[in-house]
Amino acid sequence: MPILALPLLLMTISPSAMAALPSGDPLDTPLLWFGVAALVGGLLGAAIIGWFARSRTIARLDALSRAADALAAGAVQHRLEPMDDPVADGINHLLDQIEQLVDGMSGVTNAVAHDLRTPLTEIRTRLEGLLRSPALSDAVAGEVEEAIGDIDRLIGVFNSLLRLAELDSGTRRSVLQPTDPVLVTVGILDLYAPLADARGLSLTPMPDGLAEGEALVMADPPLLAQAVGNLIDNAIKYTPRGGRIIVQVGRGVGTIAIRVIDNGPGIRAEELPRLMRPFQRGDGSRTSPGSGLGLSLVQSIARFHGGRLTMEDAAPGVRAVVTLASVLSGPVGPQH
Amino acid sequence: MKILLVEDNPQVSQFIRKGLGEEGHAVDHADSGRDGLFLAMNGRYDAMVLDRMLPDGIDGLAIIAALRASGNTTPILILSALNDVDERIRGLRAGGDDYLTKPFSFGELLARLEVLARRQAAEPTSPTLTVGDLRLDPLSRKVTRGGRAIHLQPREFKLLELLMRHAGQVVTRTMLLEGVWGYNFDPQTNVIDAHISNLRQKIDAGQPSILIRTVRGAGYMLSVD
Repeated sequence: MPILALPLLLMTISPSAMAALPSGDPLDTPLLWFGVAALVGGLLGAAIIGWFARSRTIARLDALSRAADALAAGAVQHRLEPMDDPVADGINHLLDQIEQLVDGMSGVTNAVAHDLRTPLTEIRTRLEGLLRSPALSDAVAGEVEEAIGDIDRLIGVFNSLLRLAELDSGTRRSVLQPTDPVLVTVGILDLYAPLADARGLSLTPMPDGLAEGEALVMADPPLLAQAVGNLIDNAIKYTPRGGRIIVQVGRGVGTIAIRVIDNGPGIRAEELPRLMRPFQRGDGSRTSPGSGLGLSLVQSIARFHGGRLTMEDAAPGVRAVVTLASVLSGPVGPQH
Repeated sequence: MKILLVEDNPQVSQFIRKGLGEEGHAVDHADSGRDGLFLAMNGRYDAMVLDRMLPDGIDGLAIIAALRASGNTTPILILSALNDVDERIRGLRAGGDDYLTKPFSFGELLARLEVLARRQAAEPTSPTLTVGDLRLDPLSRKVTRGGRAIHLQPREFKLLELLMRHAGQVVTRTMLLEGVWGYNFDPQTNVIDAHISNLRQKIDAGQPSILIRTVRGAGYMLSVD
Protein backbone atom coordinates (compact mmCIF):
# COMPACT_ATOMS: atom_id res chain seq x y z
CA MET A 1 0.00 0.00 0.00
CA PRO A 2 1.71 3.21 -1.16
CA ILE A 3 -0.40 5.27 1.23
CA LEU A 4 1.58 3.89 4.24
CA ALA A 5 4.61 5.86 3.13
CA LEU A 6 2.82 9.19 3.23
CA PRO A 7 3.30 10.27 6.91
CA LEU A 8 6.85 8.95 6.92
CA LEU A 9 7.56 11.06 3.92
CA LEU A 10 5.97 14.06 5.61
CA MET A 11 8.21 13.60 8.64
CA THR A 12 11.36 13.17 6.63
CA ILE A 13 10.64 16.20 4.55
CA SER A 14 10.05 18.37 7.62
CA PRO A 15 13.70 18.95 8.77
CA SER A 16 14.96 19.75 5.30
CA ALA A 17 12.06 22.06 4.74
CA MET A 18 12.89 23.72 8.03
CA ALA A 19 16.51 24.22 7.00
CA ALA A 20 15.32 26.06 3.95
CA LEU A 21 13.62 28.71 6.04
CA PRO A 22 14.89 32.27 6.03
CA SER A 23 17.63 32.56 8.67
CA GLY A 24 16.38 35.90 10.07
CA ASP A 25 13.60 34.23 12.03
CA PRO A 26 14.09 32.89 15.58
CA LEU A 27 15.22 29.30 15.32
CA ASP A 28 13.18 27.71 18.08
CA THR A 29 9.79 28.92 16.84
CA PRO A 30 9.87 27.24 13.40
CA LEU A 31 11.37 24.14 14.99
CA LEU A 32 8.47 23.95 17.39
CA TRP A 33 6.03 24.66 14.62
CA PHE A 34 7.50 21.97 12.52
CA GLY A 35 7.42 19.47 15.32
CA VAL A 36 3.75 20.24 15.74
CA ALA A 37 3.18 20.18 12.00
CA ALA A 38 4.94 16.83 11.68
CA LEU A 39 2.91 15.42 14.54
CA VAL A 40 -0.34 16.72 13.11
CA GLY A 41 0.70 15.55 9.66
CA GLY A 42 1.52 12.12 11.04
CA LEU A 43 -1.77 11.84 12.86
CA LEU A 44 -3.65 13.14 9.88
CA GLY A 45 -1.79 10.70 7.63
CA ALA A 46 -2.60 7.81 9.94
CA ALA A 47 -6.21 8.88 10.04
CA ILE A 48 -6.23 9.11 6.26
CA ILE A 49 -4.71 5.63 5.86
CA GLY A 50 -7.13 4.25 8.39
CA TRP A 51 -10.00 5.95 6.64
CA PHE A 52 -8.85 4.77 3.24
CA ALA A 53 -8.30 1.19 4.40
CA ARG A 54 -11.60 1.12 6.19
CA SER A 55 -13.52 2.80 3.41
CA ARG A 56 -11.93 0.41 0.92
CA THR A 57 -13.04 -2.58 2.93
CA ILE A 58 -16.47 -1.03 3.37
CA ALA A 59 -16.62 -0.20 -0.32
CA ARG A 60 -15.84 -3.83 -1.17
CA LEU A 61 -18.45 -5.10 1.24
CA ASP A 62 -20.90 -2.54 -0.16
CA ALA A 63 -20.18 -3.69 -3.69
CA LEU A 64 -20.72 -7.29 -2.63
CA SER A 65 -23.94 -6.49 -0.86
CA ARG A 66 -25.15 -4.44 -3.84
CA ALA A 67 -24.36 -7.34 -6.14
CA ALA A 68 -26.29 -9.70 -3.88
CA ASP A 69 -29.25 -7.28 -3.75
CA ALA A 70 -29.18 -6.84 -7.51
CA LEU A 71 -29.13 -10.60 -8.01
CA ALA A 72 -32.00 -11.06 -5.57
CA ALA A 73 -33.93 -8.36 -7.44
CA GLY A 74 -33.40 -10.21 -10.69
CA ALA A 75 -30.59 -8.12 -12.22
CA VAL A 76 -28.43 -11.04 -13.26
CA GLN A 77 -26.30 -8.79 -15.48
CA HIS A 78 -24.84 -6.93 -12.47
CA ARG A 79 -21.09 -7.52 -11.88
CA LEU A 80 -18.55 -6.40 -9.27
CA GLU A 81 -15.95 -3.82 -10.36
CA PRO A 82 -12.72 -5.69 -11.13
CA MET A 83 -10.44 -4.72 -8.23
CA ASP A 84 -7.38 -6.94 -8.74
CA ASP A 85 -9.17 -9.09 -6.27
CA PRO A 86 -9.55 -12.85 -6.50
CA VAL A 87 -12.76 -12.68 -4.44
CA ALA A 88 -14.39 -10.26 -6.90
CA ASP A 89 -13.23 -12.36 -9.85
CA GLY A 90 -14.61 -15.51 -8.25
CA ILE A 91 -17.96 -13.89 -7.56
CA ASN A 92 -18.15 -12.44 -11.06
CA HIS A 93 -17.48 -15.89 -12.47
CA LEU A 94 -20.32 -17.26 -10.35
CA LEU A 95 -22.60 -14.45 -11.58
CA ASP A 96 -21.67 -15.30 -15.19
CA GLN A 97 -22.85 -18.85 -14.64
CA ILE A 98 -26.08 -17.73 -12.98
CA GLU A 99 -26.78 -15.35 -15.85
CA GLN A 100 -26.27 -18.13 -18.40
CA LEU A 101 -28.64 -20.41 -16.50
CA VAL A 102 -31.31 -17.73 -16.14
CA ASP A 103 -30.97 -16.72 -19.82
CA GLY A 104 -31.23 -20.32 -20.94
CA MET A 105 -34.33 -20.90 -18.87
CA SER A 106 -36.17 -17.73 -19.86
CA GLY A 107 -35.16 -18.35 -23.48
CA VAL A 108 -36.91 -21.71 -23.44
CA THR A 109 -40.00 -20.33 -21.71
CA ASN A 110 -40.08 -17.47 -24.18
CA ALA A 111 -39.80 -19.69 -27.20
CA VAL A 112 -42.53 -22.01 -25.93
CA ALA A 113 -44.87 -19.13 -25.13
CA HIS A 114 -44.19 -17.44 -28.44
CA ASP A 115 -44.55 -20.54 -30.60
CA LEU A 116 -47.71 -21.76 -28.91
CA ARG A 117 -49.59 -18.49 -29.19
CA THR A 118 -49.95 -18.73 -32.96
CA PRO A 119 -51.52 -22.22 -33.17
CA LEU A 120 -53.76 -21.29 -30.24
CA THR A 121 -54.98 -18.23 -32.10
CA GLU A 122 -55.68 -20.40 -35.14
CA ILE A 123 -57.76 -22.80 -33.05
CA ARG A 124 -59.61 -19.81 -31.63
CA THR A 125 -60.38 -18.51 -35.11
CA ARG A 126 -61.71 -21.93 -36.20
CA LEU A 127 -63.99 -22.02 -33.19
CA GLU A 128 -65.18 -18.47 -33.88
CA GLY A 129 -66.02 -19.57 -37.41
CA LEU A 130 -67.99 -22.49 -36.00
CA LEU A 131 -69.96 -20.10 -33.77
CA ARG A 132 -71.05 -18.11 -36.80
CA SER A 133 -72.58 -21.11 -38.52
CA PRO A 134 -76.39 -20.87 -38.17
CA ALA A 135 -76.90 -24.64 -37.86
CA LEU A 136 -75.35 -24.73 -34.37
CA SER A 137 -77.62 -25.76 -31.50
CA ASP A 138 -77.53 -23.64 -28.35
CA ALA A 139 -75.95 -26.45 -26.35
CA VAL A 140 -73.09 -26.89 -28.82
CA ALA A 141 -72.64 -23.15 -29.16
CA GLY A 142 -72.31 -22.94 -25.38
CA GLU A 143 -69.59 -25.60 -25.40
CA VAL A 144 -67.72 -23.87 -28.22
CA GLU A 145 -67.91 -20.62 -26.30
CA GLU A 146 -66.46 -22.32 -23.23
CA ALA A 147 -63.62 -23.67 -25.35
CA ILE A 148 -62.93 -20.17 -26.68
CA GLY A 149 -62.84 -18.94 -23.08
CA ASP A 150 -60.29 -21.64 -22.18
CA ILE A 151 -58.11 -20.70 -25.12
CA ASP A 152 -58.31 -17.03 -24.17
CA ARG A 153 -57.07 -17.92 -20.70
CA LEU A 154 -54.17 -19.91 -22.18
CA ILE A 155 -53.26 -17.06 -24.53
CA GLY A 156 -53.45 -14.77 -21.48
CA VAL A 157 -50.95 -16.97 -19.63
CA PHE A 158 -48.55 -16.90 -22.55
CA ASN A 159 -48.93 -13.14 -22.95
CA SER A 160 -48.14 -12.73 -19.25
CA LEU A 161 -45.09 -15.00 -19.58
CA LEU A 162 -43.83 -12.99 -22.52
CA ARG A 163 -44.41 -9.71 -20.74
CA LEU A 164 -42.57 -11.06 -17.69
CA ALA A 165 -39.62 -12.03 -19.88
CA GLU A 166 -39.71 -8.65 -21.59
CA LEU A 167 -39.70 -6.81 -18.26
CA ASP A 168 -37.07 -8.98 -16.58
CA SER A 169 -34.66 -8.94 -19.48
CA GLY A 170 -34.92 -5.17 -19.82
CA THR A 171 -35.90 -5.42 -23.49
CA ARG A 172 -39.04 -3.38 -22.91
CA ARG A 173 -38.09 0.09 -23.97
CA SER A 174 -40.35 2.45 -22.25
CA VAL A 175 -40.04 6.00 -21.11
CA LEU A 176 -40.95 6.44 -17.49
CA GLN A 177 -42.79 9.70 -17.01
CA PRO A 178 -43.84 11.65 -13.93
CA THR A 179 -47.11 9.99 -12.97
CA ASP A 180 -49.68 10.62 -10.27
CA PRO A 181 -50.07 7.21 -8.58
CA VAL A 182 -53.44 8.29 -7.15
CA LEU A 183 -54.82 8.89 -10.66
CA VAL A 184 -53.57 5.46 -11.72
CA THR A 185 -55.36 3.78 -8.81
CA VAL A 186 -58.54 5.82 -9.41
CA GLY A 187 -58.67 4.57 -13.02
CA ILE A 188 -58.12 0.94 -12.12
CA LEU A 189 -60.57 1.08 -9.20
CA ASP A 190 -63.14 2.33 -11.66
CA LEU A 191 -62.42 -0.63 -13.94
CA TYR A 192 -62.81 -3.19 -11.17
CA ALA A 193 -65.68 -1.61 -9.21
CA PRO A 194 -68.58 -3.36 -11.01
CA LEU A 195 -66.85 -6.76 -10.80
CA ALA A 196 -66.27 -6.34 -7.05
CA ASP A 197 -69.87 -5.22 -6.72
CA ALA A 198 -71.14 -8.28 -8.59
CA ARG A 199 -69.12 -10.48 -6.24
CA GLY A 200 -70.61 -8.80 -3.18
CA LEU A 201 -67.36 -7.10 -2.18
CA SER A 202 -66.74 -3.56 -1.10
CA LEU A 203 -63.83 -2.07 -3.08
CA THR A 204 -62.95 1.44 -1.94
CA PRO A 205 -60.06 3.85 -1.70
CA MET A 206 -58.87 4.44 1.85
CA PRO A 207 -60.16 7.84 3.01
CA ASP A 208 -56.90 8.80 4.74
CA GLY A 209 -54.68 8.07 1.74
CA LEU A 210 -53.02 10.67 -0.46
CA ALA A 211 -55.28 12.67 -2.76
CA GLU A 212 -54.80 13.50 -6.44
CA GLY A 213 -51.88 15.83 -7.03
CA GLU A 214 -50.17 14.98 -3.75
CA ALA A 215 -47.69 12.43 -5.03
CA LEU A 216 -45.58 11.81 -8.11
CA VAL A 217 -43.61 8.75 -9.21
CA MET A 218 -41.70 7.93 -12.39
CA ALA A 219 -43.82 5.33 -14.14
CA ASP A 220 -45.13 3.74 -17.30
CA PRO A 221 -48.79 4.49 -16.41
CA PRO A 222 -50.58 1.55 -18.14
CA LEU A 223 -47.97 -0.84 -16.78
CA LEU A 224 -48.41 0.49 -13.25
CA ALA A 225 -52.18 0.27 -13.72
CA GLN A 226 -51.80 -3.38 -14.72
CA ALA A 227 -49.79 -4.06 -11.54
CA VAL A 228 -52.40 -2.47 -9.28
CA GLY A 229 -55.14 -4.18 -11.32
CA ASN A 230 -53.56 -7.59 -10.78
CA LEU A 231 -53.40 -6.98 -7.04
CA ILE A 232 -57.09 -6.00 -6.98
CA ASP A 233 -57.92 -8.97 -9.22
CA ASN A 234 -56.15 -11.23 -6.77
CA ALA A 235 -57.90 -9.73 -3.77
CA ILE A 236 -61.30 -10.11 -5.48
CA LYS A 237 -60.55 -13.78 -6.25
CA TYR A 238 -59.62 -14.68 -2.70
CA THR A 239 -61.98 -12.57 -0.62
CA PRO A 240 -65.32 -14.20 0.14
CA ARG A 241 -68.65 -12.45 -0.48
CA GLY A 242 -69.30 -9.64 1.98
CA GLY A 243 -65.58 -8.93 2.31
CA ARG A 244 -63.76 -5.65 2.00
CA ILE A 245 -60.88 -4.51 -0.19
CA ILE A 246 -59.14 -1.23 0.42
CA VAL A 247 -56.75 0.53 -1.95
CA GLN A 248 -54.56 3.22 -0.50
CA VAL A 249 -51.71 5.39 -1.72
CA GLY A 250 -49.46 6.46 1.14
CA ARG A 251 -46.15 8.23 1.59
CA GLY A 252 -43.03 6.82 3.24
CA VAL A 253 -39.54 8.32 3.51
CA GLY A 254 -38.79 9.24 -0.10
CA THR A 255 -41.20 6.57 -1.27
CA ILE A 256 -44.80 6.11 -2.33
CA ALA A 257 -46.61 2.93 -1.32
CA ILE A 258 -49.66 1.63 -3.18
CA ARG A 259 -51.43 -0.80 -0.87
CA VAL A 260 -54.18 -3.28 -1.67
CA ILE A 261 -55.53 -4.74 1.54
CA ASP A 262 -58.25 -7.38 1.83
CA ASN A 263 -59.91 -8.99 4.81
CA GLY A 264 -60.16 -12.43 3.24
CA PRO A 265 -58.81 -15.65 4.75
CA GLY A 266 -55.21 -14.49 4.32
CA ILE A 267 -52.16 -16.59 3.63
CA ARG A 268 -49.81 -18.34 6.05
CA ALA A 269 -46.69 -16.21 6.63
CA GLU A 270 -44.35 -18.91 5.31
CA GLU A 271 -46.29 -19.04 2.05
CA LEU A 272 -46.12 -15.30 1.37
CA PRO A 273 -42.72 -15.10 -0.37
CA ARG A 274 -43.48 -18.20 -2.46
CA LEU A 275 -46.56 -16.56 -3.97
CA MET A 276 -44.55 -14.11 -6.04
CA ARG A 277 -42.78 -16.89 -7.95
CA PRO A 278 -44.22 -17.81 -11.35
CA PHE A 279 -46.92 -20.50 -11.24
CA GLN A 280 -46.94 -20.63 -7.43
CA ARG A 281 -50.31 -20.19 -5.82
CA GLY A 282 -51.72 -20.46 -2.35
CA ASP A 283 -52.45 -23.84 -0.82
CA GLY A 284 -55.34 -26.17 -1.74
CA SER A 285 -57.97 -24.03 -0.06
CA ARG A 286 -57.48 -21.46 -2.80
CA THR A 287 -58.89 -23.17 -5.82
CA SER A 288 -59.91 -20.10 -7.80
CA PRO A 289 -59.03 -19.92 -11.47
CA GLY A 290 -55.98 -17.92 -12.43
CA SER A 291 -52.73 -18.18 -14.27
CA GLY A 292 -50.49 -18.17 -11.21
CA LEU A 293 -48.56 -15.39 -12.93
CA GLY A 294 -50.40 -12.35 -11.62
CA LEU A 295 -48.17 -11.65 -8.67
CA SER A 296 -44.93 -12.44 -10.52
CA LEU A 297 -46.01 -9.90 -13.08
CA VAL A 298 -46.69 -7.30 -10.37
CA GLN A 299 -43.27 -8.02 -8.89
CA SER A 300 -41.57 -7.62 -12.27
CA ILE A 301 -43.46 -4.40 -12.96
CA ALA A 302 -42.45 -3.04 -9.55
CA ARG A 303 -38.79 -3.91 -10.22
CA PHE A 304 -39.01 -2.42 -13.68
CA HIS A 305 -39.90 0.85 -11.96
CA GLY A 306 -37.01 0.46 -9.51
CA GLY A 307 -39.44 -0.45 -6.74
CA ARG A 308 -40.61 -3.63 -5.06
CA LEU A 309 -43.65 -5.70 -4.14
CA THR A 310 -44.15 -7.00 -0.63
CA MET A 311 -46.92 -9.27 0.60
CA GLU A 312 -47.75 -9.20 4.28
CA ASP A 313 -50.21 -10.87 6.54
CA ALA A 314 -52.82 -8.25 7.44
CA ALA A 315 -54.43 -10.49 10.11
CA PRO A 316 -57.03 -11.08 8.77
CA GLY A 317 -56.37 -10.95 5.06
CA VAL A 318 -53.42 -9.91 2.96
CA ARG A 319 -51.70 -6.58 2.48
CA ALA A 320 -49.95 -6.28 -0.88
CA VAL A 321 -47.71 -3.23 -1.20
CA VAL A 322 -45.98 -1.81 -4.26
CA THR A 323 -43.31 0.64 -3.12
CA LEU A 324 -41.89 3.14 -5.59
CA ALA A 325 -39.44 6.01 -5.24
CA SER A 326 -41.23 9.32 -4.83
CA VAL A 327 -40.29 12.09 -7.23
CA LEU A 328 -41.12 14.98 -4.91
CA SER A 329 -38.98 14.00 -1.94
CA GLY A 330 -35.51 12.63 -2.38
CA PRO A 331 -33.72 11.74 -5.58
CA VAL A 332 -35.62 10.45 -8.58
CA GLY A 333 -35.66 6.75 -8.14
CA PRO A 334 -36.12 4.60 -11.25
CA GLN A 335 -33.11 2.38 -11.74
CA HIS A 336 -33.83 1.24 -15.26
CA MET B 1 -65.35 -3.79 -48.55
CA LYS B 2 -62.25 -3.91 -50.72
CA ILE B 3 -59.21 -4.54 -48.60
CA LEU B 4 -55.49 -4.55 -49.32
CA LEU B 5 -53.48 -7.04 -47.29
CA VAL B 6 -49.68 -6.76 -47.23
CA GLU B 7 -48.30 -9.71 -45.29
CA ASP B 8 -45.33 -11.93 -46.04
CA ASN B 9 -46.23 -14.83 -43.75
CA PRO B 10 -48.24 -17.26 -45.94
CA GLN B 11 -50.14 -18.82 -43.01
CA VAL B 12 -51.22 -15.48 -41.59
CA SER B 13 -52.21 -14.10 -45.01
CA GLN B 14 -54.16 -17.23 -45.91
CA PHE B 15 -56.03 -17.11 -42.63
CA ILE B 16 -56.95 -13.45 -43.11
CA ARG B 17 -57.95 -13.88 -46.78
CA LYS B 18 -60.12 -16.86 -45.99
CA GLY B 19 -61.84 -15.10 -43.10
CA LEU B 20 -62.44 -11.83 -44.95
CA GLY B 21 -63.61 -13.76 -48.01
CA GLU B 22 -66.18 -15.61 -45.92
CA GLU B 23 -67.42 -12.28 -44.63
CA GLY B 24 -67.98 -11.13 -48.20
CA HIS B 25 -65.01 -8.78 -48.51
CA ALA B 26 -62.69 -8.64 -51.53
CA VAL B 27 -59.01 -8.94 -50.66
CA ASP B 28 -55.96 -7.98 -52.72
CA HIS B 29 -52.85 -9.56 -51.30
CA ALA B 30 -49.19 -8.60 -51.63
CA ASP B 31 -46.47 -10.59 -49.92
CA SER B 32 -43.71 -8.02 -50.19
CA GLY B 33 -43.34 -4.35 -49.33
CA ARG B 34 -42.49 -3.43 -52.91
CA ASP B 35 -45.59 -5.11 -54.31
CA GLY B 36 -47.71 -3.79 -51.44
CA LEU B 37 -46.58 -0.22 -52.04
CA PHE B 38 -47.38 -0.58 -55.75
CA LEU B 39 -50.92 -1.82 -55.09
CA ALA B 40 -51.49 0.72 -52.31
CA MET B 41 -50.47 3.65 -54.50
CA ASN B 42 -52.43 2.52 -57.55
CA GLY B 43 -55.56 0.82 -56.22
CA ARG B 44 -58.61 2.11 -54.38
CA TYR B 45 -59.33 0.36 -51.10
CA ASP B 46 -61.74 0.79 -48.21
CA ALA B 47 -59.05 -0.26 -45.75
CA MET B 48 -55.54 -1.70 -45.64
CA VAL B 49 -53.96 -4.27 -43.37
CA LEU B 50 -50.18 -3.87 -43.33
CA ASP B 51 -47.63 -6.06 -41.64
CA ARG B 52 -45.18 -3.96 -39.68
CA MET B 53 -42.13 -5.96 -40.69
CA LEU B 54 -41.65 -7.02 -44.29
CA PRO B 55 -38.60 -8.68 -45.78
CA ASP B 56 -37.55 -6.54 -48.74
CA GLY B 57 -36.57 -3.25 -47.15
CA ILE B 58 -39.96 -1.54 -47.56
CA ASP B 59 -41.79 -2.23 -44.31
CA GLY B 60 -45.32 -1.34 -43.23
CA LEU B 61 -44.27 2.05 -41.86
CA ALA B 62 -42.53 2.96 -45.12
CA ILE B 63 -45.71 2.16 -47.08
CA ILE B 64 -47.78 4.29 -44.71
CA ALA B 65 -45.33 7.17 -44.96
CA ALA B 66 -45.41 7.04 -48.78
CA LEU B 67 -49.21 6.84 -48.87
CA ARG B 68 -49.78 9.68 -46.45
CA ALA B 69 -47.19 11.82 -48.23
CA SER B 70 -49.20 11.36 -51.43
CA GLY B 71 -52.38 12.50 -49.68
CA ASN B 72 -53.97 9.03 -49.50
CA THR B 73 -56.13 8.77 -46.38
CA THR B 74 -57.30 5.14 -46.63
CA PRO B 75 -57.68 3.72 -43.10
CA ILE B 76 -54.73 1.49 -42.22
CA LEU B 77 -54.47 -1.21 -39.60
CA ILE B 78 -50.93 -2.23 -38.67
CA LEU B 79 -50.21 -5.85 -37.76
CA SER B 80 -47.16 -6.42 -35.65
CA ALA B 81 -45.46 -9.09 -33.60
CA LEU B 82 -44.07 -6.32 -31.42
CA ASN B 83 -46.30 -5.55 -28.47
CA ASP B 84 -44.42 -2.55 -27.26
CA VAL B 85 -45.93 0.80 -26.34
CA ASP B 86 -43.19 2.67 -28.22
CA GLU B 87 -43.72 0.52 -31.29
CA ARG B 88 -47.47 1.15 -31.15
CA ILE B 89 -46.93 4.89 -30.84
CA ARG B 90 -44.45 4.84 -33.73
CA GLY B 91 -47.00 3.04 -35.91
CA LEU B 92 -49.79 5.46 -35.11
CA ARG B 93 -47.54 8.52 -35.50
CA ALA B 94 -46.47 7.31 -38.91
CA GLY B 95 -50.12 7.59 -39.94
CA GLY B 96 -51.55 4.19 -39.06
CA ASP B 97 -55.13 4.24 -37.71
CA ASP B 98 -55.05 1.14 -35.54
CA TYR B 99 -52.53 -1.39 -34.32
CA LEU B 100 -53.09 -5.07 -33.67
CA THR B 101 -50.52 -7.37 -32.11
CA LYS B 102 -49.93 -10.88 -33.46
CA PRO B 103 -51.31 -13.33 -32.76
CA PHE B 104 -54.85 -11.97 -32.93
CA SER B 105 -58.21 -13.59 -33.35
CA PHE B 106 -59.97 -13.08 -36.64
CA GLY B 107 -62.99 -11.58 -34.86
CA GLU B 108 -60.76 -8.87 -33.40
CA LEU B 109 -59.31 -8.01 -36.81
CA LEU B 110 -62.71 -7.97 -38.49
CA ALA B 111 -64.29 -5.78 -35.81
CA ARG B 112 -61.46 -3.26 -36.02
CA LEU B 113 -61.47 -3.17 -39.82
CA GLU B 114 -65.21 -2.52 -39.93
CA VAL B 115 -64.84 0.27 -37.40
CA LEU B 116 -62.02 1.84 -39.41
CA ALA B 117 -63.88 1.66 -42.71
CA ARG B 118 -67.03 3.09 -41.12
CA ARG B 119 -65.05 5.93 -39.55
CA GLN B 120 -63.77 6.83 -43.00
CA ALA B 121 -67.24 6.67 -44.60
CA ALA B 122 -69.14 8.53 -41.89
CA GLU B 123 -69.81 12.11 -42.78
CA PRO B 124 -70.07 14.50 -39.87
CA THR B 125 -73.83 14.56 -39.30
CA SER B 126 -75.76 15.73 -36.27
CA PRO B 127 -73.76 15.18 -33.07
CA THR B 128 -76.63 13.29 -31.44
CA LEU B 129 -76.32 9.51 -31.71
CA THR B 130 -79.54 7.57 -32.26
CA VAL B 131 -80.12 3.82 -32.27
CA GLY B 132 -83.78 2.86 -32.29
CA ASP B 133 -85.41 4.84 -29.48
CA LEU B 134 -82.09 5.34 -27.69
CA ARG B 135 -80.57 8.79 -28.02
CA LEU B 136 -77.25 10.08 -26.73
CA ASP B 137 -76.08 13.68 -26.96
CA PRO B 138 -72.29 13.84 -26.54
CA LEU B 139 -72.39 17.59 -25.89
CA SER B 140 -75.06 17.87 -23.21
CA ARG B 141 -74.18 14.31 -22.06
CA LYS B 142 -77.90 13.46 -21.94
CA VAL B 143 -79.18 9.97 -22.66
CA THR B 144 -82.83 9.10 -23.27
CA ARG B 145 -84.63 5.92 -24.22
CA GLY B 146 -88.17 6.29 -25.55
CA GLY B 147 -88.01 9.93 -24.45
CA ARG B 148 -87.32 9.02 -20.83
CA ALA B 149 -84.05 10.34 -19.33
CA ILE B 150 -81.47 7.79 -18.21
CA HIS B 151 -78.85 8.76 -15.68
CA LEU B 152 -75.42 7.25 -16.39
CA GLN B 153 -72.12 7.36 -14.52
CA PRO B 154 -69.36 9.08 -16.58
CA ARG B 155 -67.74 5.73 -17.39
CA GLU B 156 -71.06 4.16 -18.40
CA PHE B 157 -71.66 7.14 -20.66
CA LYS B 158 -68.31 6.62 -22.42
CA LEU B 159 -69.02 2.91 -22.79
CA LEU B 160 -72.45 3.53 -24.31
CA GLU B 161 -71.10 6.27 -26.57
CA LEU B 162 -68.48 3.89 -27.96
CA LEU B 163 -71.06 1.14 -28.53
CA MET B 164 -73.42 3.62 -30.21
CA ARG B 165 -70.72 5.05 -32.48
CA HIS B 166 -70.20 1.49 -33.70
CA ALA B 167 -73.85 0.47 -33.70
CA GLY B 168 -74.41 -2.67 -35.72
CA GLN B 169 -70.75 -3.67 -35.41
CA VAL B 170 -69.05 -6.03 -33.01
CA VAL B 171 -66.98 -4.20 -30.41
CA THR B 172 -64.52 -6.51 -28.64
CA ARG B 173 -63.61 -6.34 -24.96
CA THR B 174 -60.08 -5.34 -25.93
CA MET B 175 -61.46 -2.44 -27.98
CA LEU B 176 -63.57 -1.28 -25.04
CA LEU B 177 -60.59 -1.47 -22.67
CA GLU B 178 -58.56 0.63 -25.08
CA GLY B 179 -61.30 3.06 -26.02
CA VAL B 180 -62.86 3.71 -22.63
CA TRP B 181 -59.99 3.21 -20.19
CA GLY B 182 -56.92 3.58 -22.41
CA TYR B 183 -55.46 0.26 -21.26
CA ASN B 184 -53.76 -2.10 -23.65
CA PHE B 185 -53.54 -5.13 -21.40
CA ASP B 186 -56.09 -7.82 -20.74
CA PRO B 187 -57.08 -8.03 -17.08
CA GLN B 188 -56.86 -11.50 -15.57
CA THR B 189 -60.58 -11.58 -14.93
CA ASN B 190 -63.19 -10.42 -17.39
CA VAL B 191 -64.01 -7.04 -15.88
CA ILE B 192 -65.87 -5.66 -18.89
CA ASP B 193 -68.87 -7.99 -18.54
CA ALA B 194 -69.71 -6.43 -15.17
CA HIS B 195 -69.70 -2.93 -16.71
CA ILE B 196 -71.91 -4.09 -19.57
CA SER B 197 -74.25 -5.78 -17.16
CA ASN B 198 -74.67 -2.49 -15.23
CA LEU B 199 -75.25 -0.61 -18.47
CA ARG B 200 -77.89 -3.16 -19.54
CA GLN B 201 -79.73 -2.60 -16.27
CA LYS B 202 -80.11 1.06 -17.17
CA ILE B 203 -80.64 0.79 -20.93
CA ASP B 204 -82.46 -2.47 -21.56
CA ALA B 205 -84.17 -3.52 -18.31
CA GLY B 206 -87.97 -3.32 -18.64
CA GLN B 207 -87.80 -2.35 -22.31
CA PRO B 208 -89.78 -4.19 -24.99
CA SER B 209 -86.63 -4.67 -27.12
CA ILE B 210 -83.03 -5.32 -26.19
CA LEU B 211 -80.30 -3.16 -27.72
CA ILE B 212 -77.06 -4.38 -26.11
CA ARG B 213 -76.26 -7.87 -27.34
CA THR B 214 -73.45 -10.26 -26.51
CA VAL B 215 -71.80 -11.66 -29.60
CA ARG B 216 -70.57 -15.10 -28.72
CA GLY B 217 -66.81 -15.51 -28.63
CA ALA B 218 -66.28 -11.94 -29.82
CA GLY B 219 -67.71 -9.09 -27.78
CA TYR B 220 -70.80 -6.88 -27.84
CA MET B 221 -72.97 -5.18 -30.36
CA LEU B 222 -75.52 -2.40 -29.99
CA SER B 223 -78.25 -2.78 -32.58
CA VAL B 224 -81.96 -2.77 -33.31
CA ASP B 225 -82.84 -6.31 -34.40
